[in-house]
Amino acid sequence: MIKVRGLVKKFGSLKAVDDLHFDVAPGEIFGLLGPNGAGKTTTISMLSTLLLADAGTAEIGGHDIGGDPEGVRRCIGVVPQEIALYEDLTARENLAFWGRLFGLGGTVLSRRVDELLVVADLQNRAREKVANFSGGMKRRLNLAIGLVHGPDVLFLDEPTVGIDAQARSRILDLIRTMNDSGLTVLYTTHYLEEAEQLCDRIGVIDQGRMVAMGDKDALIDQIGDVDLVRFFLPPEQRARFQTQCAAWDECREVAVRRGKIEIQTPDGSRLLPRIQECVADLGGRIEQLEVERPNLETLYLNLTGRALRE
Amino acid sequence: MRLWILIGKDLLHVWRDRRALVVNLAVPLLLTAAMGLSFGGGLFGKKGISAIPLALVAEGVPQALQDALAEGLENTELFEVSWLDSTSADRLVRRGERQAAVYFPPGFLTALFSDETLAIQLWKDPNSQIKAGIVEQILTRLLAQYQTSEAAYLALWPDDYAAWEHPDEDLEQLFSNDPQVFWQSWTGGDNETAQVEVRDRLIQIVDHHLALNQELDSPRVGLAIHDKVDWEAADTSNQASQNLFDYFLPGMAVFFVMFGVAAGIRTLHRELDTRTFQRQLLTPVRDWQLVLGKWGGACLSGMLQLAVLFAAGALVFGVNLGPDPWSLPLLVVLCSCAAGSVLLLIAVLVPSEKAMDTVTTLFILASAMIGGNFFPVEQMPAALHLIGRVLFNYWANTAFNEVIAHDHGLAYVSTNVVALLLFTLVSLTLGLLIFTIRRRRGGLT
Repeated sequence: MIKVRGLVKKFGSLKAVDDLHFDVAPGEIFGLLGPNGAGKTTTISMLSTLLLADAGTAEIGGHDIGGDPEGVRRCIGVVPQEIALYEDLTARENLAFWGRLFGLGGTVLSRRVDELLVVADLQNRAREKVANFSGGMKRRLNLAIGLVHGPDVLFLDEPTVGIDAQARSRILDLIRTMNDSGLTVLYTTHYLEEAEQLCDRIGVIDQGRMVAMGDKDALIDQIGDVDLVRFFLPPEQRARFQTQCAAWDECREVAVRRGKIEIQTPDGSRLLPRIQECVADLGGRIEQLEVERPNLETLYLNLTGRALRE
Repeated sequence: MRLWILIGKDLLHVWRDRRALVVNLAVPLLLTAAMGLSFGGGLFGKKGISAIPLALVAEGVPQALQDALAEGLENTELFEVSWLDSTSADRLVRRGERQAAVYFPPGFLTALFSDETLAIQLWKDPNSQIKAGIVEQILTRLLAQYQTSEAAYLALWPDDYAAWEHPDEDLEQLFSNDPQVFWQSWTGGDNETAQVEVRDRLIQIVDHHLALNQELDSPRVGLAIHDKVDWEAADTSNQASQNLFDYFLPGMAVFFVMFGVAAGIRTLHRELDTRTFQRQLLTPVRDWQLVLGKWGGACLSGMLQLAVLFAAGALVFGVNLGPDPWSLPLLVVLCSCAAGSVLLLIAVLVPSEKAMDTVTTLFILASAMIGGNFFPVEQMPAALHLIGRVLFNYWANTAFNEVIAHDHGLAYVSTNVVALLLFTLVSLTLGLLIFTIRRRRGGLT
């Protein structure tokens, strides 16, 4: 459904997207995972014809983004990261306005608006101005507008930014429901939990380049069987601990991130006594200890040397 | 069709913004009311200002020219004139039986037909600046027109004008609107040679007339203003009247319409900030439709604003709506379109809504001052008067003024109509062009 080949976008000397390649199959949820500034929004902007690519090609539903932008626009729905709604119009008026721009009218439009109000769980607030809505309600309406013309492909650009866990869960449920009815989804996020829960396949993007791609298990397999041990240590003891820890055979990597010591090791539980002994020798005390099994965060850390939220 | 969807959405925004509605509709009416009432106007169609009793004093102005001047002044419906000798005029003015006196000094006639600049003196009440201002404004306008028509008569004057002694009976013929009769009697009646001579001279006259019209572009007759320090109030209760609101409402309406239209156009930047504009770019709507939709919405709201203001002005203040049903509506449409186009051009040039606010506010205030929204352009220095012509509101103000205050039809303001059309077409084309270029360069996304 989506074919991307060698897509490049530069802003001055900065390469925001650098030789991007990926495919998305019909009915698939494909996640683009990466931190802020990785190039996710720029990629969606090019695929949705809002920005012109400097190089490369892409096809969506058989329409070339450069040669047939209007065909692409009819085929896709876009849910931008920002809540792009008219706050002084009601939910119904917003949906109807965007539907009309896509050529819907009369009873077809009216029926579609009613359906989407139910989907977004806004049927009881349909005639209320959007300005009075909560963040979660606005996000749901923002998403519903992307679906108003019944697109084959939906681009979701970080659709859960700035909302609470409950509202996020409702949005993710909504996307799954839409996907169950055959909608292809390109989903960008910097929340790895969302990518893990929602996406069939994930592309990990960093500094405009695709650094890894596959389903969740395949991606984690890439880093092998590695646990992440994380704990807080006072700053005056960190350097000496790092030096000693780095010499241990079981330690693959040790670093300080966001004030915490992070150790990658094949078996975290086996290393714990040795860590406690070492810290005690240094006259310190371990606080906020966590042992994590390998996940996408670990993968990203391995691939880029940085955490997703840095 | 999509264009109307976009326009409809913007009109809905305007309707929902009650605060803007109040500002754009109520404030101009309140300001007009305040100005009109403070200058002597009345509500509910009651005519406000009385015709100003004016004394005209002339030494050496022939009767025919006196009649022509008096008729011209009285036709404005602002003056009730009478010719007096200087002693009587001074006495009546001091007693308050005349509100002002206009002195045509000796040599007025000769100066009118020469290259000399002539100062007519207006004696006015320093305690009644507004009425004096109106007298000055209308007299200036009248004299400028009168001078042009005199130039036509001057064109019929033979080359040996200097030898002529200006007998009154010849002047009566000259101003009898039948210059051919005058010409025939003066050149010798039916004499064939004289008629050939007349024909040759007529050719010269036409050339002379054209040359004079070019030379007389700037008025040669100016007003010297003098204050009467011991003015007395006059009883004007039984005099004919003129509606002052006719003069104030057009300027106020155009001024506030500029703000109203700017508020509509400014949403282009607001929509860029809230990303709804970019979202529209992801629909099958074309770029030019989006820009025209924004322009159309702002223009339509401007038209509605002007229509409501003039309708309310007519109902509340008895403002004149022009000599026919189409002159004022056409000007309303043209003024709104020109305002929308000029402000759209500004919108596509500035980087943000904040910049748009600053630039448009400065632009509107400056152009309102120069373009005659606050003061009649005739009372402004010549240089500013000239600069005003590059502003659309100058043409809108003068056109509305002619239609409303002077009851002139479209033919009279045809130059203004063409100017407003040009402002619309040129600014709109440039606005679309600049928008397209900025979009292609990756801007406005």
